[in-house]
Amino acid sequence: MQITLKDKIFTLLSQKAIWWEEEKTLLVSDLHIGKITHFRKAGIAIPQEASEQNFHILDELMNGYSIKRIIFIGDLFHSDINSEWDRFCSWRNQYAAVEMLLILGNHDRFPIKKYEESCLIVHPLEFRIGGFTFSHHPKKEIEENEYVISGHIHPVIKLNGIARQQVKLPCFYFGGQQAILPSFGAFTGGHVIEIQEGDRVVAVAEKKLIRIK
Amino acid sequence: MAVTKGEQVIQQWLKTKSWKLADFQKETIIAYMAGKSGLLNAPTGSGKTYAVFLPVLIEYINNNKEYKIKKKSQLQVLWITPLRALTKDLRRNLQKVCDELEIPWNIGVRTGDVGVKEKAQQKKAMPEVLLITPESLHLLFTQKNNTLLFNQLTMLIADEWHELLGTKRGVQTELAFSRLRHLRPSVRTWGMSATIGNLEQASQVLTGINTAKEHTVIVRSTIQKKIKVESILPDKIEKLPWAGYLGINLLDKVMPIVMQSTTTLVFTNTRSQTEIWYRFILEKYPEMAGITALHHGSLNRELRNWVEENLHLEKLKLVICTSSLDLGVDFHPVETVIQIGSPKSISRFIQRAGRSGHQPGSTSKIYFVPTHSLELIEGVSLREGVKKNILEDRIPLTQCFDVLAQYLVTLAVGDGFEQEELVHEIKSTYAFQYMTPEEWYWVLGFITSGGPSLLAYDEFRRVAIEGELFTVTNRKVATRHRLGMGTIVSDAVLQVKYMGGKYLGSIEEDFVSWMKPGAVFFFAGMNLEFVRVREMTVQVRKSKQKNGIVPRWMGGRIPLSSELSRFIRERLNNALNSDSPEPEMRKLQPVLNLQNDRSAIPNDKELLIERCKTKDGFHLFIFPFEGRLVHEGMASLIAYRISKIKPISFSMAMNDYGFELLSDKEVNIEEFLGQHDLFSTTDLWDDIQRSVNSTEMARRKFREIATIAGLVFQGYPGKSIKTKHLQASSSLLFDVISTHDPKNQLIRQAYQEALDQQLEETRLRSALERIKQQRILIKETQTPSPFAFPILVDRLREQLSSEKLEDRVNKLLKQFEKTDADYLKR
Repeated sequence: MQITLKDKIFTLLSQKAIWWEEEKTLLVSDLHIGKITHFRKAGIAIPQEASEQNFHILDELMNGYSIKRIIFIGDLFHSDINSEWDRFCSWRNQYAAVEMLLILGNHDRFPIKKYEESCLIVHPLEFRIGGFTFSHHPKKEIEENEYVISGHIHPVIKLNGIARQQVKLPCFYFGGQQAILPSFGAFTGGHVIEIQEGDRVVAVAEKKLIRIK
Repeated sequence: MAVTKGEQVIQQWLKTKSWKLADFQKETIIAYMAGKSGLLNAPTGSGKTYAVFLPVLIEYINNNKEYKIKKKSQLQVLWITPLRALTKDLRRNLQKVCDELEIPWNIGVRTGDVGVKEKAQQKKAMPEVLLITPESLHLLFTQKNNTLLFNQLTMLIADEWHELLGTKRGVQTELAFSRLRHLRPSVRTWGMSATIGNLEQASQVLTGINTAKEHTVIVRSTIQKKIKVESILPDKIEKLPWAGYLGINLLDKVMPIVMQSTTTLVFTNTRSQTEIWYRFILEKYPEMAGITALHHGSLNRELRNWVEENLHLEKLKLVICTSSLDLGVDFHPVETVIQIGSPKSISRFIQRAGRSGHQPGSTSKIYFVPTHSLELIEGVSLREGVKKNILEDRIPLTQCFDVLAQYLVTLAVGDGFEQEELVHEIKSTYAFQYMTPEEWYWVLGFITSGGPSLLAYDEFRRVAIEGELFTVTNRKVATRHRLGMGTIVSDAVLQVKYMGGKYLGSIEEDFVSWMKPGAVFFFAGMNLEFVRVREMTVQVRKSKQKNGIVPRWMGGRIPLSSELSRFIRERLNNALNSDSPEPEMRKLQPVLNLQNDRSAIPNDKELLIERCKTKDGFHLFIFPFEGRLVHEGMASLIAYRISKIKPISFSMAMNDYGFELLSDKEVNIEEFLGQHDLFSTTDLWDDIQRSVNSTEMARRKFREIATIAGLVFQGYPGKSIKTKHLQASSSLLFDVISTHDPKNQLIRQAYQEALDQQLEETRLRSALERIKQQRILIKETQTPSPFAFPILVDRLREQLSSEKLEDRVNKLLKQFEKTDADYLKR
């Protein structure tokens, strides 16, 4: 599904990422890699297999599009360092030719050098390109002509209908000057958002994208 | 037979007090002296404490010639109690016996309320008798060298065993007892229980399946209390019954009864109801200020102690309470008991009635206040149930792998265990007697490798295996385990404190989240102004404002017992009879007439189905009168069977009388019933299983299981240590584990619990068998009938759908376009 922001065309993907073809760039937010191992280290038995899911889907995307650059919009890694970081690094090396940027999120707390060692270009607060600003946290003060693409919220939309029907789905949110991506990570929750008049929302219903507004 | 020294001493002591042992006390003493274990069934206040304690003393005197000389302290008796509140009086009573007999024993208490200092003292010198909750006993097992504590143990006592039976705390007690019996094979186990339907089974669960039947005994006291039941009838009766009234409209009829008694206990079913009643009474009867108090589980312990103290001292005329005062010590001044709303079970009603009338031979009087008009039928049924002395069973839980996983980690934190030895102990419990080797190895894998095998293959860290010993070596793991132990899972609670720091009690996070500073709420009988939240504490100050909102506490709705449901169904026969001998039924005539006009009143050979169309959609109301649990199961079963035939989405609601299937599509129920046997018992098991899979029931059960098994970490109580990075919602865990580890025992347990407890397959099956014999009566109603109305307005709903998610979303969107933004905001 395509959406136009500031005259640029973006393709929304049901894998909860955005493909920006013109820039050959993939946008991904809130992977929370390492979360499962972090829990397991604390004695909380989440199945280890679940941690592979993020990489399966990333591989699927890498094979499906001619990606030159990935922008991770924060919360790439959940916690203190653990073995999943090595898994991530070896995944990253598989695609050595692809440029990978990381906007730091509140969970990304390694020394910057650590990311750079794994060939990630780090932007502590934000990164601007072609009139777009990428920031982990949605921004409160937005300049004129600026359009922010952010994450952090893990947005979910709640739909109610007659006969007391209710469905909750992860979603992409597009406000007047700001977009929020759904969380990509396999082991992440969600937060129900309220929308204002004029906002656009696209929900992810399993493998389908559905335009809500 | 020669009288032993111990018996002589006790006899002498009884003489000085002019006491005579009752038959059940003698019987218990003889059984204990003969080495037997057992269950004692006697009402509160009848002296059952002495029945189990005196034989222990007799034996001690017999075995110790110089019994008056203080010996090195050794734990002799472990006394399990379900409520911390019960320990205070018990300790005083037991200590008094020892002091009077000059036996230099110390009676100790170990519960969550006991301070560090006392615990340290106990570590130096263990008291001879320790009063303890199941949770605190398990905490003892986490200490290093704890096995040494139990060297001289002679007696295990489970007080109010009926309260523990049928809960996970009961399973916890079973496990602890199996451990202690293994460490000390000569130990005897005694339980005390109020009257329940399945005493034999209760005794077996208590003593474990390896204790031979000839070594156990059930002692029943013949003391029977007379109980008188009276309903309080409203003058005017609302024709559309609705559960929202709380019975407060009958206040002016309740108060004269209160005035006439020395002391009255008013039982409500929820904590909010307690607060509301308290507030209305003080508003309308200001003269009651100072002699009225309230008591519920979310209030500060000190406040509750004060209330209990003043009940004893006859300083209170009225106490409004929840089940928090169901148990334990007697309050002699209590003359009258009033039950607001349905108690849902006859046993519970009898137990509450028993809180009054303590003089020997006196009659307990209990009044029943209906909270909506249909509950009047329950008033009649309760009276009949009491008269016939109908008692419900308490069904023990089995295969609780969440509790088992927690227990294994507990032992590993303490002295560690060897699995080959331990499995025999575990399998000696009623709960785990049928555990298979596969299940056992799964639980061991779960705590050691975080997966199905025992081999650690990553950084998973909980229980380590050193040689043969399962042990916890990591201090962080041990600390977190100790803090997370227990089986009672609560919503996140915040403490309520004055600005100055005085603690008042606790309320749930949910309630706090929609309060703004300056908002006034009613709590602990006071109007409080919300100031701010700081580190899990709600800071408040007193408010002069009159009106405030009342906090709601979550907590399941108790379903109607099957015994009580049967009485209600029978009541509906000949319900339309203005000459009924029962005043409740006469009062109810206008409602019953309206029901009859709009629809029908089914007799016990009929099943009533109503269909009705409103702006909400197409409603089907089905009234089996089987209690909420069975209705929940039947609703999803019928919804599932319809959805198998055509793609449809349902929202379901239910109460104790019937259930509703609501859809945006019309279901021609006559046609469906003509072609399909929706109430069939064929393929019942499979259909139930699939309907559970398509609803949220198992997911909801998983929340408790995940917490007990240590998958959800609730954080450090009262501490502001950041634990957020280790928190995941149980719903998310359910999804991830179901997807990647479909054989997970805890996920299976969630389904099993939904099937056993939520659906009660046996009850559901017998309900369906009954329906098979019934004629189905379908009525089309223009407006909802009095029976349907309370279900219609219920917002607590379950969903089931056989439509594709995409189709459902598109459908919702179409409706959304029509009706605009309302739907998204609602």
